[in-house]
Amino acid sequence: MNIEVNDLTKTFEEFKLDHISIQIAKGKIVGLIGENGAGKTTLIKCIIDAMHFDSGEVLLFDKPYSADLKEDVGVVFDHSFMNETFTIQDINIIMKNIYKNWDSNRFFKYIKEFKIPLKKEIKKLSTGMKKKVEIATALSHHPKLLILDEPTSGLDPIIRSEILDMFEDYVSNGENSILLSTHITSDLEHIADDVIFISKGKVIFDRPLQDIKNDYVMLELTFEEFDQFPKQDIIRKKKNRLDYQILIHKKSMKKNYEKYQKKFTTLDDIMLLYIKGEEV
Amino acid sequence: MKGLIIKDILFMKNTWKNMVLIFVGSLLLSIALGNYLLAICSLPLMLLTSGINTFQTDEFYNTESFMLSYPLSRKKIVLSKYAFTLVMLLLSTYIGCVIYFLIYFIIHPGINGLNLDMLKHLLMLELAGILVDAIFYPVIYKFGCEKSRFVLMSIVMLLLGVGSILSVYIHVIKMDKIPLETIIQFIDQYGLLSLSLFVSVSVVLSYVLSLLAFRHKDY
Repeated sequence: MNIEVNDLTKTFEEFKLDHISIQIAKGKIVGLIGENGAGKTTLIKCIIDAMHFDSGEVLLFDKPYSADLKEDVGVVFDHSFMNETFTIQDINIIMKNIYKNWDSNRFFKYIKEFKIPLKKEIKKLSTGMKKKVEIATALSHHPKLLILDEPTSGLDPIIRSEILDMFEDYVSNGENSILLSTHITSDLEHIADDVIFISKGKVIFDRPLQDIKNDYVMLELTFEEFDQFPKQDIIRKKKNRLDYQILIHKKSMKKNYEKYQKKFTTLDDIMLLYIKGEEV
Repeated sequence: MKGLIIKDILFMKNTWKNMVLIFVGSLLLSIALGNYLLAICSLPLMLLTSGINTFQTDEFYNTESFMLSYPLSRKKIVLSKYAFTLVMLLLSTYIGCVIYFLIYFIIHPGINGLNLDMLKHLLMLELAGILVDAIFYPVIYKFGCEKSRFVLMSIVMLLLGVGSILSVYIHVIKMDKIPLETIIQFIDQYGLLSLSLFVSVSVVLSYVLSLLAFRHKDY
């Protein structure tokens, strides 16, 4: 395993990361989804030791945490990088004195591919370009594990697609893996092997993406249809102005359910129904 | 750790223009006044307090979480700030000496009052600068830059308050019983040495306190 988190708990005044256990195997891209404040960034910070936790354990590459292990970890945070008065050349000078495996050629190759000016201060770059610099920095010391917090936010669909291709290529050796926290769940539907859904500090599910896609069905029912629908089959329901949206397991689908309007179920829909919907 | 020291040194490239401007101003003022201590000390003192500015920039750009993703222990991250300060001390001493000799041999050769004592004063001022850093660093690690200003201001106000109270009762002390001459002589002879020792102990204590604060901090 590249990451193993066992029974991790972190308590704040109004929020608790509650007995979280997750595993990220080699060669996998694992998506971390959840609403704002669900605990995704807190979990990531606990994994890289930017935050202490109350109990539990974090193993990186099957070893108890130590700073040296981070030689093999590349991180992209949502709102934390370097002093923005630095240029690309400055970043290269700093990083080659921090990481033993820092590869300047690789770094400048990414920078050239991304068409980022070498001598411009980071603060003068666009949001998308800044993000690309962060990704290039995270990839340039040949890490075995990437931990990415909203790496594609602020990027246009074309660049996002390029970056996602890069991530797929990165794990293709079967050794590297990625933990990718994102709000853009459509990105995950293209590349993730597994999805971990966190809500209010708890893991709601941690499953292969294909299983999730195959397991859930979302139906849109009129109020009358909803009243007649067998409630034991409903996992979550959400009442809208004109109808109900309900989530059921595919195995619960019965022949007579075919008459209801079936909606193509996305990760967003599932997340929305778990967060905004109610149990029956 | 070397990377973090380089990071802080690179940060200074954005401030060197301001530093040179202030230095030129202080040099002109010194020429007008005929006293060159200000010109000799201004640049070294600015360099020595730049450590505090690096904390402010780190906080402004929210770099702490990212820094903790580096393969460096928290101990090394704290140590790098102190190592940077040591580098600045060496650099500022060197620059101070260069400015001294430039004034002594080129700008105003043979000027009265410009003697080696001035270098001693430069070193003492630098040590005072280091002492300010040693006080600031653990407070910043504990409270962050924004809050640390209030904390340090409170400490200064408290000391001023205590001083004011003491000044009311100072007449109780019999001044003739205090060997002022001996004290002045001691400072003259051993001032630099005593200050060096005091500052060294303060820096070690400051490092330990910074480490304790940083080890327990969440980012």
